[in-house]
Amino acid sequence: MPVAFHPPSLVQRFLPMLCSLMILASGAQSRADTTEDILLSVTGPDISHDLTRTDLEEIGIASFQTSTIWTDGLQEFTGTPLNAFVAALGLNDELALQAIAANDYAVEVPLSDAVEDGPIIAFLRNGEPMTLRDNGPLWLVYPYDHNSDYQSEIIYARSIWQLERIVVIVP
Amino acid sequence: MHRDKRRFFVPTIVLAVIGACVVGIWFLSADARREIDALATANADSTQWSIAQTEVELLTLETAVLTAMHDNSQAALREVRRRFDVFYSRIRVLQRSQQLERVREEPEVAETLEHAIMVLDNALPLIDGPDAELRAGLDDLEEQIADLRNDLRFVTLESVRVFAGLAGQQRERVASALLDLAALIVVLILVLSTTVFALVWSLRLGQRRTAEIALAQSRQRTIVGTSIDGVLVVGRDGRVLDCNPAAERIFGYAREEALGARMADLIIPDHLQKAHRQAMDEHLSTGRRRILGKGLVQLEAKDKSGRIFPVELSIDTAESTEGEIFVSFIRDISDRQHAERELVEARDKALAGEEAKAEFLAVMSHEMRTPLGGILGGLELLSGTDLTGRQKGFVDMMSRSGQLLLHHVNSVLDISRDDAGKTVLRPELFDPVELLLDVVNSQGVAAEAKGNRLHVSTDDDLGPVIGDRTRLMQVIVNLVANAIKFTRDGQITLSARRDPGGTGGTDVEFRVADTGIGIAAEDQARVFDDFVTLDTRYAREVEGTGLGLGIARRLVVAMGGEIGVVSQPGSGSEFWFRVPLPTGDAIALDQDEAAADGPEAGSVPSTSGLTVLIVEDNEINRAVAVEMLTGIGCETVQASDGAEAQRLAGQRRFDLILMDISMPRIDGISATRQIRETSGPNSLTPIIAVTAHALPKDIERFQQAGMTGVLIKPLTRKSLVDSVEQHCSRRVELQDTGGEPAISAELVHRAVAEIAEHLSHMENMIKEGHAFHDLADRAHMAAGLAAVSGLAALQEAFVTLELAVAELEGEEGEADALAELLAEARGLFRREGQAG
Repeated sequence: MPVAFHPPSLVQRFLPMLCSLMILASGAQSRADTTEDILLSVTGPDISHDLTRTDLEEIGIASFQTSTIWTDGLQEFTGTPLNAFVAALGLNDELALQAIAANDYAVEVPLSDAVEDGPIIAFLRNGEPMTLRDNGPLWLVYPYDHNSDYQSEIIYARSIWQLERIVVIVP
Repeated sequence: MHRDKRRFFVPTIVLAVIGACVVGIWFLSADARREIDALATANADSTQWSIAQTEVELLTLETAVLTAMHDNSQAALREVRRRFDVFYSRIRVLQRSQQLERVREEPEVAETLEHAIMVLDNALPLIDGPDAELRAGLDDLEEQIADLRNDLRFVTLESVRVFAGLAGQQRERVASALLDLAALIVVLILVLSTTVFALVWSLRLGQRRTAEIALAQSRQRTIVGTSIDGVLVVGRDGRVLDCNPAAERIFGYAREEALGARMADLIIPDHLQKAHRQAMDEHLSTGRRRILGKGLVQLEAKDKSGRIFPVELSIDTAESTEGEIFVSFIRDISDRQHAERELVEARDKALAGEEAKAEFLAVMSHEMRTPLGGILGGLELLSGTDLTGRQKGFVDMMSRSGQLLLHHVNSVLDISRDDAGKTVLRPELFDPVELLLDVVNSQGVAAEAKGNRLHVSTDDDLGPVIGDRTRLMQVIVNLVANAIKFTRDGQITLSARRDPGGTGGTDVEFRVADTGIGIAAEDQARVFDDFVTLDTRYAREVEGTGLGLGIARRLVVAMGGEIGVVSQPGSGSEFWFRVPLPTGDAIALDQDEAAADGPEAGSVPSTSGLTVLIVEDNEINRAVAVEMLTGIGCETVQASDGAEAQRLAGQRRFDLILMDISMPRIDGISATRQIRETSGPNSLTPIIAVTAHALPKDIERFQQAGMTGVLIKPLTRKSLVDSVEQHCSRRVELQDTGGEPAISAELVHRAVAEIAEHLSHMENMIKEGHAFHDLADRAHMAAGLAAVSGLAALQEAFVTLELAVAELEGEEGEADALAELLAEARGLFRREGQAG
């Protein structure tokens, strides 16, 4: 099976980023009246964004195949790369992300995880959007099969599903 | 080879073991790491958390449901739905998660989870349905959820139990992996420390070897450096790699000059360059070794100054880090060769000196004997005149002194004669006891002068014997003279006895015992050497040449005997010698006496009337000879040299010519040759050499010149008469018209006896195979005797023999032919001689 991880091209990476920055700069309010569901709210010092799937797609899209310890068989995940997400937020290295799930599970994700070919904030699994019942709608997934470093308890703990909120914090 | 293999074998093994350990550790550590990772991964903190969380989320759902039962708000229902979804997702995770696979293997757990999903799936229409229905079903939902609570608790406990077990196993695996790792590390450490130890050890060994090698090298350097032979080391390219100080000294090049230079340019002389190049090329291309490893070779070399000198060279090849090298040891042997040459020269000089000495002695003895002969001859003539008693005493004294002097001269001549060849023995019949008495008489005065009593003590009547009386007497005289020298106021006893060993042989032993100073044991063997005077104290007061005993030894040996001495220092010496002396017969003795008396009686008709030419440069000798010949009735004509002799010989015929050898102008040999060659009146006349040159080679020379016989100076009446009789008898016979023997019956008898003696002697000579010229002499003498005795056939036989000797000389079969002729003569003698 071909590797399903498609790193974004320059255009893919930077054009959406610029767009998203414009979007973010324009404020969340402009999106409030749309019918699309808010999937992720990002807060922090001077930060407050509610992001829809479209917003996330505009920041960046990547996908890869991997197995996980929680699922059965290979899964294809598609979502926004964490590094693109962090870049879009313009966060510096001294900060960290506090990711919080629907069941109030919370975990701290250091920005050092935001690397190329690193984790993505997945919104599609096997081409399908994920429901809450299906560990969705957002799942911070690491490419466990591609990098054995990701097969660790810490990373498993950071692999938060039913992700709803991200708080930018100073660790 | 074997060592090399071992040298590589051991490190290979060590490396292999280390490699195996490293690989083992690699795998084990990977294993351990994996196990530890597995421990980390499978350490289901989060899993357990998520199981526990399932219960929490169930409770949260239950709380939401209970809240919604009392709260009619939409939010409450939304919360129910949301919590349901969360719980649902959790259950699904439990059902699918790899982490929980082991737990799900418990059938009850799987069943429980199935059941839970079934319950939730059944609730889905309600949850996903309209709010009113959901609200209405809340009670029911709450009940089902409450039921699930126990199930989940069971799953939680079960998973705790399973994970605890798994964790234990995991820990054990980790522990075992770590243990394996530790064991392997221990092994590796052991191997490494062994290796380190081995390395240290081999390093030490290497250091020690290095030190030893350095020591050996320094020793070798010292050996090479101090070697007195030059050492040159040359590479295959012919360039000097090394040399030692001796080589620098020999060739004159400093080490710095020599190193790297072509050896051939430095030390090989131009004329050897080509040969060297060829040998070198040949060796380099074919490996042939001509002088390599062949030990010492003598060659020539040149030094810096171009001097060419002889060297002794030893060269061989050796292996070095630079490949084959040539190591040569070179010794300058010019000094040695010089010394050898000098030695050879010195030896040649010494030999020449020896020859000169012998020559000198021979000449001197001749020169001394000639005047001495005159003196003695004169004295003999003087004693024949009327003398007073006193005068007779003086003449006797002078005669004795002259005889002593002659004896010394003869001693010297004997030595040179003996050293030059053989002593010719002249056997005759004599009484040994009489001989001893003669010696006592002749030596009595000398003995008395030192207060010694000299006497003969022999009981044995030995009877007449055959032997060389003169030589025997000389031996005894020498021994007696020696005894007199070393004895003062003592006794000297002479004795003789036959067959001392009792073996029935012909040996007669003579003894001369004295009561003198004796000879130390260590000197006894030396006393018979020439010129030995043991006691210098005595030597001073004792006159003599020191040759006496040496001559005695020589003569005894020549006579086929042996000589020795028994002595006790202080109490005297006893010299003894044994010589073979066959018994003679009484008749021969009588005739000898008769013959000896013959000339004295003055009645020798055979010699009377003969005309004799006397050729002699010395006037006294000439006068003596004239007197003697006149005394036996001969007429004499005198010539003072060879030229005169030739002239006289050309004028008239002589019956006999006495020819001196050493003369001014023309010597006796040349004169004789001339007389023989010119067919003058004397071409057949017997010519007798009169000489002191009595060496065999001289006699040969005389014979070749055509001389008939030899008379040794000084002349005595007896020898002269003998000689004249011998050589002129034929003529006497021819003169006698009646054909009757002109000599007495006694003389015939004696002649026959002598012929017999000559025959035996000649037969011995043929047997021994040498001295054929002596044979001619003998044949000649025998022919004369046969003629005197009227035995014509026998005479012819001897003449034939005599001629044959000269004719056959040096030819093959000479001895056989002569033996045949001699046998013929013997046959004739047997028939005619015995009868006559």
